[in-house]
Amino acid sequence: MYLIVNFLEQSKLLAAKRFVLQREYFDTFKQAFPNYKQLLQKGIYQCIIYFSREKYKAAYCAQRGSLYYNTDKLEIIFNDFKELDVTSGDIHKRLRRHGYVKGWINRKDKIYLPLVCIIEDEDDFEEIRKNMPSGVIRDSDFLARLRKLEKQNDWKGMCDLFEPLEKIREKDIWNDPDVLYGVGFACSKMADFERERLKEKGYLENKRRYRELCIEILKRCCELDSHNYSHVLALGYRHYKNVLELTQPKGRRDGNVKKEIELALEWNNRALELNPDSIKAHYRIGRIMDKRVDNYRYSVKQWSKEVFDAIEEMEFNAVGHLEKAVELYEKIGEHEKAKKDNHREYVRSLYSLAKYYCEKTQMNDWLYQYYLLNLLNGQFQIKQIMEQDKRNLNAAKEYIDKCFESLFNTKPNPDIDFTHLASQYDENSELKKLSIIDMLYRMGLIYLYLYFMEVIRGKNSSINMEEYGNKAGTYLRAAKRVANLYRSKGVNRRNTYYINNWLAWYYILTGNLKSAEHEIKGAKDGYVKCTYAIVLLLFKQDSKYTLAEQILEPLLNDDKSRSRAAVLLACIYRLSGQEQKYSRLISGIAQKHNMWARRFIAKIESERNKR
Amino acid sequence: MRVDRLDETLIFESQDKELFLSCFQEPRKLPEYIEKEILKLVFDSLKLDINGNDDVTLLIKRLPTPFINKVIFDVESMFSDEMSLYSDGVHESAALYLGRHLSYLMYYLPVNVFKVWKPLVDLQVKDKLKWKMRILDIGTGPGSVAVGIMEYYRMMAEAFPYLNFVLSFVLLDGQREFLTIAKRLINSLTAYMPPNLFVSIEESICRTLDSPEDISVSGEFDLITMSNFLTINEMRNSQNAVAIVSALKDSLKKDGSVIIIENGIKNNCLSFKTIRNDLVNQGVYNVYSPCNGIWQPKKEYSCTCFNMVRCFWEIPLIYKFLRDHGLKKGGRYDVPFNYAILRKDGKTKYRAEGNNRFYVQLKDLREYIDRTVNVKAIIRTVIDRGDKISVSLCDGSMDLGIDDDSSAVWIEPVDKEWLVKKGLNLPIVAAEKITLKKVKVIAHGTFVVIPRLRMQGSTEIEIEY
Repeated sequence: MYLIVNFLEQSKLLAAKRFVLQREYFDTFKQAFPNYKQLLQKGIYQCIIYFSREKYKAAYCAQRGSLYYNTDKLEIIFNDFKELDVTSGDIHKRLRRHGYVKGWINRKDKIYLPLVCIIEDEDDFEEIRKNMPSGVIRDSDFLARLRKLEKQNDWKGMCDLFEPLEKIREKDIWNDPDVLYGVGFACSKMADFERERLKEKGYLENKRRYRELCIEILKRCCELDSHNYSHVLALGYRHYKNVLELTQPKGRRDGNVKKEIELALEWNNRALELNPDSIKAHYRIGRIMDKRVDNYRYSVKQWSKEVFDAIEEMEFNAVGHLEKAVELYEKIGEHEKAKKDNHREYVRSLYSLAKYYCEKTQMNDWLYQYYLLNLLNGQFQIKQIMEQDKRNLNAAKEYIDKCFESLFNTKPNPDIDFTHLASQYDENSELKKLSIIDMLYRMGLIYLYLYFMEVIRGKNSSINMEEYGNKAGTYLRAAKRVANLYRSKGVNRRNTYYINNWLAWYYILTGNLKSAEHEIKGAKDGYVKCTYAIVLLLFKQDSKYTLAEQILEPLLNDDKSRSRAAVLLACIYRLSGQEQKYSRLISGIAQKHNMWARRFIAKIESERNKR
Repeated sequence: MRVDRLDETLIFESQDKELFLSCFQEPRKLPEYIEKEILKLVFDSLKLDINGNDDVTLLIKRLPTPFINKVIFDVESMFSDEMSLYSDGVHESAALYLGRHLSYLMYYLPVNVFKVWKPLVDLQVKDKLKWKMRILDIGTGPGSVAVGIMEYYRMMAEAFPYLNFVLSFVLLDGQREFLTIAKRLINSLTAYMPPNLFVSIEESICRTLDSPEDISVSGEFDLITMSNFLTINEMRNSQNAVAIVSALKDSLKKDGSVIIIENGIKNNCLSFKTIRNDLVNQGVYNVYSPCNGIWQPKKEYSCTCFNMVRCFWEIPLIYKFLRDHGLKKGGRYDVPFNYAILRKDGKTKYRAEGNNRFYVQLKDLREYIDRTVNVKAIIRTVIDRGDKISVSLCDGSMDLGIDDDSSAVWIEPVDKEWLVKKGLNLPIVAAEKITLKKVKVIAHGTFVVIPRLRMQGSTEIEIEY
């Protein structure tokens, strides 16, 4: 038998020359080596000592020593050491790997690396002690080399095998679809864009190079083997990623979205022709069609019934594909490989559907309308909220709950420790299929809308009201907490005011205006400023009206927020009796503002005229 | 590369890989200085004057024609049956080599020099070679193995000038003439060694090993080598082989290795494998390489299959000259041989694989006809057929006899060019571990179905050295 002992620091070893393993540390040891007595009875041939706090320092080999143990503790006394030419860090790394391979480290069963490890086999011990390069010398064909590098996610290594890739046409592998597919796949991974690095010199050019090579290589694969679903799907995936990269906020803008959307649809549809049950293709088509709706919306100059019909049809198709992806996934047997392979697409389809149905409602407009009408003593009728909205919200709730359950194997419930869940989720990259912040935010928003519906139906309108409110608040607060946790770790520094915005709405709905104000006071985005303005209005104080007015007036020049700001300003003018300003504002409303603003102003005007 | 502080073995760093792959990549070339020193020794023995500035081509041309003719005659006839068998059916090596030592030196030394590289690489890849080696070379002959080891260490010493290497030989042979040649050759070659490689002959023992009692050497060795010592040409050695090699165990360090190298002739192969099997089955040694079990450690050996390893080399100048003057032998670019590395510490080059979930054992292949499978095995033998090669595999799950070659598992002949196009950089060499993924099993044979493997476009090939 061989022992490997973890001392914290070198000085402690040299001073004490003994190591005692007891209490919880001995328990960890016993968990990893339940038959330790039998093993230790065989005698110890050699012992390595490494220092976990000083990984750069050399490990030691104990030349002589003695060992005592009973059921409570293990004690080792060292008489003589020899410094090795291997660092403690190397020993630690090799030992951990060995522990996982042998199964005595098992995160699932919460068995971690003990401070003392027993190595039974001399070869294993020597491999650790000598820190020999893993694996013997190998010669492999391209496919085997690609597979090995792929397992290590070494996309650059895969591409480097065939550099310069610009000359790949001249190489023999140009006629080998299997090898080309591996290279194309690696290029696709290398082309993946991270917006945080957008400003790095040469970054965009580098990404473009791999993108273009990927498309060239994968097209060749499809030429050589046009009936191969994987090749076609991979090409479709590249175009799909291009669409996402070109449309994400602060993403790259060095491409033609419209063209990429068409290409992504073309190749993913081809993949569907080859495999009509492809969950990945259905999901991607669904997402791209959704992007096409957005793109189409921006390009419309003249809105008409035909335009609305066209959008509705596109949305219908997008939802159809996403729902098909969900349906196909749920048909897969519990232990089939496809279940694991397509889980990411399933979860994301559920999330996309929840998001779609949530955004399909016009609850944000209803919220404004409800509070502004209340302020102006107007009448807000529950009937105004269409049945369709209720159905959409229920569908969104169903999808988001299912999404959560599928991702975490537990039903969503406000008692879960989400910060703990997030840190666990974070450690397991396998699970990284969806941003947990997005998930919690979306859950909070859906429950907030449901809560709002109950609120406007009157106090204690249903037994669900408290539950919805509680869930909305919990999930939104959890989303914020997780975002802060990530920010403190430096993992994700994205702006989370969109969460604060809805949390503020939650506080408005629960009548806690101070908290609402606190939540969004310093916001810079127009839509959050509008929420802030409504909070100020709800205080019903002149000083707050003035502050709200100051915040909103500059927003009249903001393309995204001007209609909402105009409506809010109109209300302030009315409430503060600034009739002149009010008249001037509503006289221009038809030209500059959207349908919602025009309708709302028309409504309050007509109610005023009635009075 | 670095030296382990505890056991003094040489440890690879990952970037050293290229150097060792070069052992397989290009054919080996006998350095001109070795050929020159061989010729200088011949000139000296023939008491001919020599101009030290002459190169090998000039030197060899100056050899007397009758001597050249004698060398050619000796080489062609030395191991033919009528010359080597005496009336009692027992070889007398003294008679066999009588007056032929120089011929043997000129022809058999070059061909045997690089054979020892393969076992040395086997030991090296698993960090079993040391910077300082004490070597007992049994049946030294003109010094082929010693020269081969010196050349291997020279390559390392040049690649790693910051390390020191020490080789200390004890030479043992029944022929005093051979020992004289070997000592002179080794000593003269030390002049060509880099300054960080120290080579010395600790002792040379002239003794015929007729029984285990004849082995009395002082101290223990890191390496004990025997090349063409157990061959049936050396009948007495062959008869006493098991006892002799068993007795050597006491002279071997606990982490030492015995390297046995034999020529690639079928009868020799049978004799060699029988000796190996006895040594292992009697528990004297374990096989370090080749012939490791892939799926479970091999504790007993009964296989006597006929296979060989090949060493690729460039025909040396002396051979070319002799062939130009009528020698029929010596035209092969691949030198076939057999070898075994035996140890007493139970260590093997390839450890048994723990997980065979996705692989099929060779003995079960016939149940997978027309299916695509994954296979892991040791390359038993490789047959070069010009543009194509045939490869036979063994994973330890089947025991074959000397004539059972057709029952072995073979990969259907594949184009060498196709393998290169697939990205295999090195020639496929026997005794290495091969992993084939997505290979098709096809039925071969008319009356008995013998499974064969067919490489496909999607087949992944990986060879471990």
